[in-house]
Amino acid sequence: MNTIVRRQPVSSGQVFSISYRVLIREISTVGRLVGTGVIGVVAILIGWAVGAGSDSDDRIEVAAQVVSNMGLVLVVPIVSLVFASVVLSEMNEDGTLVYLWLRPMDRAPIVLGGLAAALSLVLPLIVIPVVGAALAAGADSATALAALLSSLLGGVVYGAVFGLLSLVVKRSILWGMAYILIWEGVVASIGTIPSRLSLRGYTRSILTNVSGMDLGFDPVSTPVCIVVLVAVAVVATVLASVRLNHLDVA
Amino acid sequence: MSGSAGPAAAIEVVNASKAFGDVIAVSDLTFSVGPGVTALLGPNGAGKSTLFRMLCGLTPPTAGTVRVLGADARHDREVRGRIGMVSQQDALFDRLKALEFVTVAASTQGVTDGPGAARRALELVQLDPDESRPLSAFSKGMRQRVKVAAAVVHDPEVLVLDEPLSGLDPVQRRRMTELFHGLGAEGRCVLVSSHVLEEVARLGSRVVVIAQGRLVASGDYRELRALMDDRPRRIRVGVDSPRAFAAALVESGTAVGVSVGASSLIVDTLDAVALSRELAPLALRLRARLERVIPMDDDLESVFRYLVERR
Repeated sequence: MNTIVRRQPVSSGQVFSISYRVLIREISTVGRLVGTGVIGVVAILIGWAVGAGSDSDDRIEVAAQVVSNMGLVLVVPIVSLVFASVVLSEMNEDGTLVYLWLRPMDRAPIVLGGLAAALSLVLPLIVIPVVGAALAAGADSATALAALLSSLLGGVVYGAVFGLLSLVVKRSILWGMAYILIWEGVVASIGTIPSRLSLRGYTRSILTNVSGMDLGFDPVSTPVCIVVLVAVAVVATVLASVRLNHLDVA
Repeated sequence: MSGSAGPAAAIEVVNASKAFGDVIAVSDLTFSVGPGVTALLGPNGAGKSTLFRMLCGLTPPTAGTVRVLGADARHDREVRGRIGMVSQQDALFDRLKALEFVTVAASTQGVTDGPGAARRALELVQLDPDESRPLSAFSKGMRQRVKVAAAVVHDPEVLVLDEPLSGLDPVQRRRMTELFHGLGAEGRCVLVSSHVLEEVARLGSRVVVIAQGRLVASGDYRELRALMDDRPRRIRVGVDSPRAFAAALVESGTAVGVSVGASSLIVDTLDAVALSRELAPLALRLRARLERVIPMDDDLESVFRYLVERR
């Protein structure tokens, strides 16, 4: 160790860049990519089958229903959960988080790098199947655009929320599934207030508003949806940064 | 090293405790460590890793204070850059190559020439920087050396190394021990944990011994060794005439206590070497068949038990 090692402060941009590069390689396992890829292919096939089995007059509405009931209910939250819930928590469980945590640098960019890594995988894996399923079912351009916007925003907000969840609880996959299936699947359908407390209500509202289809519920306006979803994503990311600072690191 | 913090102490632990629910991992530890190599000795489950995690700020103490270079690594960003840690966890970023991994370590420490520093660190632990295999293909010993390279790549003042010699072959153990001594001789504080007595003997003369989360002994290794040599030893002797053997051993004064079984006796002695020399001639004299001689308390646990009990 006779060579002089020159050092300088690590900028937030460097922390983000390093975290992103390391984390995207860590979470992009073959199993996860194949599993979520299969979900996407199945979604497109179901969209095609449902569209093929419906009257040509109803196909646009059917396509919107496919996006709403399959894309936004299952594909978007589940694929987001698979990647976002492991990005930092898995590192803490296996002991590799220390290689980013015990460093003379800000920890907030680590969370941002992790979120960006998760979203880099999640967004293609949800947007392509959801829009693909819509088109396969017979969607027009407005419905396809609605599918694009709602799945894109959904992916970002679910990614941020599940990323936070993974730093707060153990077995975050199970908690995330409980949220998707029990809260959003059952409780949120009981009334307006629970519906306003579920992310799905906002993504479906965007789909309804942009496509112009009546999906059988009272949608929230698009600007409100965007503000709420972006705010939830920002708050979740900030809380995840705070949580990372106070984490017990293995 | 001393019981109280001195001005040159790089590591200061004062009344530190750590509990996980009802489990107390570390209890009221106080010690300080200065420059040079110091061995932290303790059996598995003694609280060594928890102590190291507290030193590096990975987990806060439940009570007391833990300082490295006068600061709390959990909250002081600057001091984190002056610590190098080898954790006990085997996990690495397995998809990276060794050079990439150590370069990441250098970059996150703000080293300006990350790849260059990473190459030098890997060469220091005698690994090929151009190794093409990912870390997932590395042996346990190679992974340990990668961890050490990542810990020293930024030229830290304090090294906290949790069982860094585990998984290494004898040659690599010796080389790694020389490396630690070299780093200590340069004035760095090198704290190395181990649960193997012989490793500690090679690591250096200064030791901190903990068991069940408590400080058992600290000071010079030779003093500790003398303590262990002075303790009574318990040895099981398998023989076909245990009563006659027991009487002869008590008569000779070699045994300070004997309990006799059907085909063996358990001997307490203050001089195990003298006992071992006496057994064969005694068997000849008594025309007895000596079947086996088994030390019953040579393991590390019994050493700690002895040290704890005599405090």
